[in-house]
Amino acid sequence: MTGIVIEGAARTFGTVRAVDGVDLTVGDGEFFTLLGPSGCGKTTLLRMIAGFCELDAGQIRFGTRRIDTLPAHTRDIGMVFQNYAVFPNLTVAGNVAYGLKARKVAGAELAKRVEEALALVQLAGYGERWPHQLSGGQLQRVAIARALVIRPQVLLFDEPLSNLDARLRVSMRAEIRELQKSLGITAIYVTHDQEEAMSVSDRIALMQSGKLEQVGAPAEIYRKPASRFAAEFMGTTNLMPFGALRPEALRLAAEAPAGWPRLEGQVAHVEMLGPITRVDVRLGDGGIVRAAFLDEPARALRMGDAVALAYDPARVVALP
Amino acid sequence: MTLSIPHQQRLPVVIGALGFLFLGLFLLYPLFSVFSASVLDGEGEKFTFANYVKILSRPFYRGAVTNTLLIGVAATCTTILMSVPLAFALARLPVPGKAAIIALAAMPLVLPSFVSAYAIVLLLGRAGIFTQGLNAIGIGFGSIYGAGGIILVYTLTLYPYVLLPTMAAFKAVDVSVEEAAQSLGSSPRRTLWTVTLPIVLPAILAGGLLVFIETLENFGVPFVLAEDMPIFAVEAFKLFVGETAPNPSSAGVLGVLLILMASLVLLVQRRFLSRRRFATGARSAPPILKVGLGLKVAATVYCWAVVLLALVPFFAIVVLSFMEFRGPVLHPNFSLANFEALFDRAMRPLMNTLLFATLAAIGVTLVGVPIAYVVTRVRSALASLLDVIATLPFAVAGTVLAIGFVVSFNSGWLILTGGPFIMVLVYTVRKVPFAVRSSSAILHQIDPALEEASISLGRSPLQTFGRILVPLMLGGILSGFVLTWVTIASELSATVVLYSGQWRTLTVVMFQALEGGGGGLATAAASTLIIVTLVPIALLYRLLRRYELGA
Amino acid sequence: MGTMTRRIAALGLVLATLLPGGAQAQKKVVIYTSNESTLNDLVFAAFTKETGIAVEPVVAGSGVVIRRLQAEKDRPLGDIIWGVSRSLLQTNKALFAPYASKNKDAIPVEYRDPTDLWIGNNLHLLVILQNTKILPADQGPKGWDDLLDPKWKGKIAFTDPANSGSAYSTVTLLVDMWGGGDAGWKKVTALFRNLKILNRSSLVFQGVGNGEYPLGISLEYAGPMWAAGGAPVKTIYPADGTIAAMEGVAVIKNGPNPAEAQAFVDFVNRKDVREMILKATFRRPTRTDLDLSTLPGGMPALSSLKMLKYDEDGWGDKRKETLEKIKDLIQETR
Repeated sequence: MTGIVIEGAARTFGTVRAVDGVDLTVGDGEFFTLLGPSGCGKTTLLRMIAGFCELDAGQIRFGTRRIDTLPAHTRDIGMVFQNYAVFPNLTVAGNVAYGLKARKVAGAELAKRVEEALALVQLAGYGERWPHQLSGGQLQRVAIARALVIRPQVLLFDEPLSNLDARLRVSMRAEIRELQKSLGITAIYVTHDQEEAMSVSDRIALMQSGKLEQVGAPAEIYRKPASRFAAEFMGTTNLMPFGALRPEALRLAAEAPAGWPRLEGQVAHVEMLGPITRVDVRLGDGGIVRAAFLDEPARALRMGDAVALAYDPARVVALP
Repeated sequence: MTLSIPHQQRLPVVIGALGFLFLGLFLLYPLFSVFSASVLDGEGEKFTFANYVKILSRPFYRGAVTNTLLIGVAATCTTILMSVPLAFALARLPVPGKAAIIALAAMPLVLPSFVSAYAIVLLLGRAGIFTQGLNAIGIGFGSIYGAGGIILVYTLTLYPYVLLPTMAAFKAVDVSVEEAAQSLGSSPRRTLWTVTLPIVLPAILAGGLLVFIETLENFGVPFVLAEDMPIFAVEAFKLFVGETAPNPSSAGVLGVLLILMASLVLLVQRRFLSRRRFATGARSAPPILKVGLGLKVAATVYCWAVVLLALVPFFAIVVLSFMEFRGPVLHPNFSLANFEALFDRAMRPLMNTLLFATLAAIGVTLVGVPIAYVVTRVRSALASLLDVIATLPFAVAGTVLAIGFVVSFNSGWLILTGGPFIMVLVYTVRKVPFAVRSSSAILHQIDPALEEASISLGRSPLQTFGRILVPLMLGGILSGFVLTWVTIASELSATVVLYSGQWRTLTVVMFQALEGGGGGLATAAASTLIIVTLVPIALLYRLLRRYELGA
Repeated sequence: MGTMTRRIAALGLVLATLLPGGAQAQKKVVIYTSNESTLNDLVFAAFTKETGIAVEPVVAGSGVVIRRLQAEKDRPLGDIIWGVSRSLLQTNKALFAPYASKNKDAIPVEYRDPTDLWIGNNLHLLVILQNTKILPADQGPKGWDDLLDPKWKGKIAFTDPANSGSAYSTVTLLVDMWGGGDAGWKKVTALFRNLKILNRSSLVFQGVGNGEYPLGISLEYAGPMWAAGGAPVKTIYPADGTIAAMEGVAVIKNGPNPAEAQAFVDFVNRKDVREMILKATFRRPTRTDLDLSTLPGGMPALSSLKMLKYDEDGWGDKRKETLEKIKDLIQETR
């Protein structure tokens, strides 16, 4: 098991600085996510680690071993791709065995490890099937089994869930997280979905324009965004003159502890989402404040109602 | 600082370097020899464009250029007009016997065009069997000679070049695009014109380009049918190998002009296609349309009529080969004497044909597939250059390349004349563009992530190429292999310049027999070639079906 | 997949067995010939049967053969050049090795080189072929002058002189015969208006034999050959005169098998061999000791025909310009 050290990694495509001097240390066994909008450089950074993208400057080490100068196939990496990249010309078992065969594993040992890996992703008994017989979720499990079975030093995930439907995404991300923790393999995970990032990661690096915007644990980035970009990317944010305020830091004044500062206005929009209700309130100056409350049957909010909100002053984040 | 190649680029760089080396030595160098002959004065010493001025100032050769271009354009248009409905019917309409039609449609490629032309004269010449029959029942039919006949023969022999890619394109159209158009209120007919046809247009044009270039360089058909209309490829052939006064500088000029014309068309097509690349991400073939009985019958009749009409020369040759020839004169009696004569003295040429076609088809695959890999997977100026050079043989007539080889490899450190490999190499170079094109088409459809997955699992790029890409491309590689094999087996224009001694091929036997008036030997050889080339086609169809079912 | 790989391997094995056999220790001779295959096959088979020497033929038009010879002069691959015209033999003398054939004395001096660098085999007379099915025998032309009649427009097949030595001889002979210079060319121009200029001489006699054209200007042998095969073809020996174009054989200098080459030169001009060739392919021999009237084809003796003088060397020297002039003429008269 290995930590990953990235120092000064940079890469320019034409005039675009895709990765612009990134320094990063990922701990041994850590589940680390690169998060950001498309074009922020997260995928390029991941491909640098995998060996599919050359560095213009800087270096990458697994532990003390420098790997950015090694050919990709010698880096000992397990990678899971957005569109699965399951080999259509091999069976499920053939796919999983592929990397083992490259490592000269053969015979009973090969069969045993393939079976174990398939069991691990709940595909026991699927070995003889062909990829075109499987669903998207099953294909992604094959891809994960294939990456895990070689017991790589590092696992890389390139938006592995973005081709799956919403429900499957949620259950798969939990599975991935669980697998990674049980095996203890250092993982780097790329996604543009901040909720997914928060749910799986030990730490997140938020990227923008090829640079690291903020690195930290999910809660830290969510609660203490270091920038306006970070604040907005991690979730709905009210940018007030006194700082940034998450919707859940607001309550109806009537339900809030005394002493919380108040804001008054009119209900502009109500959205009932089940456990929570989102409310947009137009303030006197015309600005909109977004609030979110846990569902409360006794409460009735209608568009146009005058309403008073209060907020927790401790949850106001001052942005630079 | 040393020059370092990024490790993930090493395989493409090595392949690319080998590709440049191969094409440089066996394409550019021989072409340079032809070119230099065209720009040297009579003594072969001073550089001059006088040869060009001389040729282009002669009305005879200007006429040849005009005739060639007009016939080429007309034949391309008629071929497209005939093939596109055929392709549509075979891809989208309920036509009975589709598999048979498609198999029969590839057959005209098997017969050397000069043999087709010979058969057509016997059928449709002034004294042809059909001509006389038509005249007897009062239908005045002039003759097959001249531009009209040449265009007809080209249309009937070259249409598979348009049909096959267009049919594939019709099958690859994402049906949801059509559905979208219809949901927006477009009638099925309008949808066909405004949505479907534009999507398959690149495939039609790519096929049309092949037809056009083939008409430029083909000399077998106009040789027989043009009578006294000057045609460029024929005049170039006469100047190269003319019996009386071979004139390498004028021939060089014609060769270079021929290459320039073809290259120009090629460039126009590339520019046009690069600006419209329609991605069609169809997962499954679009459904067969439900049509009325009338249309179904019409489509069926049309498909069978076209395919069978194109095969008339084919049948004629087979029938003729079983007839009695006294000397050069045909007598309508059944006879096996032609085959006896053939097997008596032409077994060796038959073996040579099989051997050369096999070696060259292997060579084409080994050169073309890796080059396709580089040009599809690497974006760089050098890769584009390699692509252009690998496409160049499209534009080079067989005769021209062959003469370049003779001039370039008859002395010095690499001597090829007199042996079998000169033919294998020329065939290989000539067919490389076909392999590069068909392989890149497949490679474009293979997700690069598959290769990355393999590499990340510990296979080197080379191993990945062999273990993932080659198996995925196998169907395409095999069908390309067979198509190459078949077209090489019927090649004449380069062979007739290059063969020597014991290395003559079956097409040379036919050519020489027709020269001497030995129509019997020629038709028996042609029939044998037909049977021999149908074997790999049949094998291919079986293999492909198995492959598609298995994977 | 597995079975398919095996099948491909099996296919490869089959193909491998088809490889042409290994090297032979047999004696051989490499012959560059521009004769057509019927003649080649006949003579080579007989030669091999008699001498045991295998023949490796390289068959191509005489232009190609000569070009090859010139290209290979530093490293000749052939031993014999056969079936090319007197003028080509004459202009490429430097490429040949002298050999005094055993049949030398049976052949008139005008048909052999004084220094024995080449020797003639057969003579081609320029004739007019007529298809008597389309054009009754008695309605045909008697000679060249008759061909100028506009009624023949588009009915006479001729070969492009750029691709046929005999066609070149025909045109230039007629220029001389019709008064030479501008006067001769004027009449030739009139003739060209009537001609269909085809790309190769075989198309002319095939065309007349199969009835595509009623008339054709051709070499002598084609007439009896098609007639013997049963085609309605009549050979017209022009009353206003013709010429005999010679074809011959030479030993290539520094060829790999000189002894075998000499054996072939002797063989191909032997009296019995010439008789065999005449019977099968109607080639008129250069030897004067065969009685043509008793042989098939019914070819008249040279002495019974009006033979014209022809400046072969002179027209050979002017070949390039003359061919260009003819090209322009073709274009003008279409």
